[in-house]
Amino acid sequence: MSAGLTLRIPIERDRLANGLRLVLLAQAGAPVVTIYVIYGVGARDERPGRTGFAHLFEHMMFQGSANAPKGMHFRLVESNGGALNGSTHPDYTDYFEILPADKLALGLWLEADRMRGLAITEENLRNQREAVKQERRLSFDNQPYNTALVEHWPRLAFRNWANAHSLIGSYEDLEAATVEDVAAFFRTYYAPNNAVLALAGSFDPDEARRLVETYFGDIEPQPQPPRPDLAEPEQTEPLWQTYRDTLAKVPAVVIGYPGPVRRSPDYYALTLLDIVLTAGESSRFYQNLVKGRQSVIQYEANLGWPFAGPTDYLHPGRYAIFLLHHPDFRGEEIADHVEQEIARIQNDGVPEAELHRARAFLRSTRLRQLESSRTRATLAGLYELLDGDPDLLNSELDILSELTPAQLRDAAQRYFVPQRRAVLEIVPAPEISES
Amino acid sequence: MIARPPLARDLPHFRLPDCLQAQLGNGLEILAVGDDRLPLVHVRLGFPAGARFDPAELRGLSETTAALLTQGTVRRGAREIAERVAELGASLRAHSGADSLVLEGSVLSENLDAFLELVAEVVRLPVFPEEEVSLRKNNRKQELLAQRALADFLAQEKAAELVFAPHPYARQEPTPESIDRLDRPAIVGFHERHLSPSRGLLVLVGALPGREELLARLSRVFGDWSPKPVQDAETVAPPPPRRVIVLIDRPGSVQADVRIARLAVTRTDPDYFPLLVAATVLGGGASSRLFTEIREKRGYAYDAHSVLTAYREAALAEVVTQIRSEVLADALAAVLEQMERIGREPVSAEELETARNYLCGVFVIRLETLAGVASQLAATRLLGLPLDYLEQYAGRIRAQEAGHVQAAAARHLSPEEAAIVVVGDAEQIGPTLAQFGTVQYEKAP
Repeated sequence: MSAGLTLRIPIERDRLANGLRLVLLAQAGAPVVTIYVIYGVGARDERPGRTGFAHLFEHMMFQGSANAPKGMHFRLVESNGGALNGSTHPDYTDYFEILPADKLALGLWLEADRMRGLAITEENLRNQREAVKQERRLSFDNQPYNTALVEHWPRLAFRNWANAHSLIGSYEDLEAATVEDVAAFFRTYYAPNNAVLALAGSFDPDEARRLVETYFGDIEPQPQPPRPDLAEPEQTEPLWQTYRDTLAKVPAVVIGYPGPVRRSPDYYALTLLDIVLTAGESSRFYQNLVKGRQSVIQYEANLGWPFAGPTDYLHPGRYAIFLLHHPDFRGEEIADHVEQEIARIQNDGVPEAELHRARAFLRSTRLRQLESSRTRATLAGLYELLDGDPDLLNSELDILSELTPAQLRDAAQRYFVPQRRAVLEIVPAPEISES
Repeated sequence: MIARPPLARDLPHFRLPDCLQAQLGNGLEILAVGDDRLPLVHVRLGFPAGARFDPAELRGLSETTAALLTQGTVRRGAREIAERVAELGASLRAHSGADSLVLEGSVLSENLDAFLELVAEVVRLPVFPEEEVSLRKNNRKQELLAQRALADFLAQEKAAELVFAPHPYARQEPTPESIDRLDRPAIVGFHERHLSPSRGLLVLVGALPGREELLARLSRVFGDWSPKPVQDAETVAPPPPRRVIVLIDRPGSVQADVRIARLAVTRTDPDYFPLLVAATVLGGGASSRLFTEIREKRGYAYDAHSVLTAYREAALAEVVTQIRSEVLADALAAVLEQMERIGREPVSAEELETARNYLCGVFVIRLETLAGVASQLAATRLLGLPLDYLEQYAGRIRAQEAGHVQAAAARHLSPEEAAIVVVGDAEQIGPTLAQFGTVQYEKAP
């Protein structure tokens, strides 16, 4: 069934003299274009005393630039019928505009203007510090589970501060951030040579190249920033921690194992193993834990969970599983149930019929993703930044499809090792937390 | 470097792609749009069988029926259905909203026939096995418990109740007690009463065979499905909007989750489009008044937006924000003032232009993907609207002038008659809230 489904999305690459990498995915279709800019800097580049800074900086990118005063970015995009946003991740920060196709020039102008220079003022910083603190209250402090995931899970799963610290940041560190920090961060990391610009949708590639050269061509490059040292010591003992969550009402467990190097054969094997274990109602977890044992209610899992998936996972990271479970089971029992499912693959491998379903799942999922210009631009931009090869968008399914049952079994044996397991048990603790 | 942004031209108009419209002998309505760019077909099969058809004592009946459609037929067990979906390179799930129950899926186009047979099987021949009913009830109770840990869920549920009761839109979520009362006979009965081809809508979008061939195949799969007599749900009008303040105590909350809600108008009302533009100027997107005033200027909240939810029989206009407990009084006063002001003064020419273009642009973005086209076609017809609603949408938005917008806002966004729901730590914020009127205290369920 996979014959005839080999993907061929046309992708063109280019690089400006200042180092800005350009990826073009022009395709006739809906009259829409996505402009996607991704910078090679994220929360793992932060330094002690400045947790949450990459994200706070992302907010500053919407506060006005050289020729677009505060508010103009939002207003120009929206008054031209577009939508926009930005987001901060462990290893990168990205921004997008989706616009009517004939508004490509406007989107490029806005992105170029803020890559060239930002309006960094005390007032803007004070204001966005408040917005970010409010965002932290909304998305983490006031939500069940999320404090455990952003503060406690990384600290349990990693030893290196770069990997283990909070991505949203402490109030104290947010308060300590200065305009000088903002200016230095901008100069160091938001340079054209540390960025990728990806365009997808209905546009003429030659015209796009000309516009990109006009708007971005004269932005000064900077010395290439160093990547942080992310190295983790090898884990030799299993880790277990219990977190009492005063806002949660249903217990949960997070289970994680150190993952492989991105794009290594084992990276592909774990991507496919995740599908066999967790994707859809035919998966092992659904059939055997939600049905079968009836111990688990809902779950999510990913290479790099909770802040990444296979498309943006970078080593070192963990393959992690979050399971919401019935209160009549203890966390240890849930961890046992998961381990037994893993052991079955380690002992017996994965039958061909299941692999066939996993491949069909991958292809249909990728096809659905490719309908959207935003997803096309995002994946191509990520693969250019992280892999130097946006054509993986076309070729990675072939690599995944060629994996054999033996490779999956071997990878399960190598990575899902009890001594390298970390478990965070989240126990509802309503009312008084000291009990 | 170019110091000025490139000048904008007019927005493109949306044209609905060629759409096959047909009806089978049993009444099943067919909409199909062919598009060969990807070897994929999106399918929606919908019925007017959403939560508003639930008997008052059996909240959650519609969503449970939807969830269990794919959990066993006379031919296949739940596992076999799941494995069949996966091997076809498909996705399939049924969900239920306020008005409709919709089976939603997609499939690699080469497997379309097999997929349509599976869709027909789950919708026509489900058995709702006892063990699946009992598992779903158990899990739904835990899911509800998890939802009730979320402040926004509590606020949303309460706002709908205050605005719509006694209309069934007031009870879209189940309760632990109503879940306990659900059983197989009730589910079988709901399926029997509400899922008839005479009320069904089938939407297909993607790499499809030609018109004749497609209709022949659909007749083969769905043609011998007999229509059943169906009853409309009884209609009870929601009450006129009125001011009431409800504080749901959630000890430990570090914010006040606020929803200010009013009964609004449905899409067929002449006030709908001007109200939509007004709600957008007030709180749609990052150029809106609420975003600018509440977040960017004052830093009271991360999120402050408005939302207009138009169901088939009634609608809800809301302002939603989460305010730091210490600044609740000033922030709430500022939000109420914005709701009041949009009905008091005309919006500026620039705000009007931004809101109209934003609405038209986002509308086209929603229709960028084939999945988006399938969902919009289904939603339009299931709301009882003609298909040309989609093509006329942009024109209707653009026809709104400042006077229309102000008048609609004065009628439907005035905070004087709005319900204010706040979820937060009552000990911390109760006294503050009392400055705005009599507060009804409730415990979080």
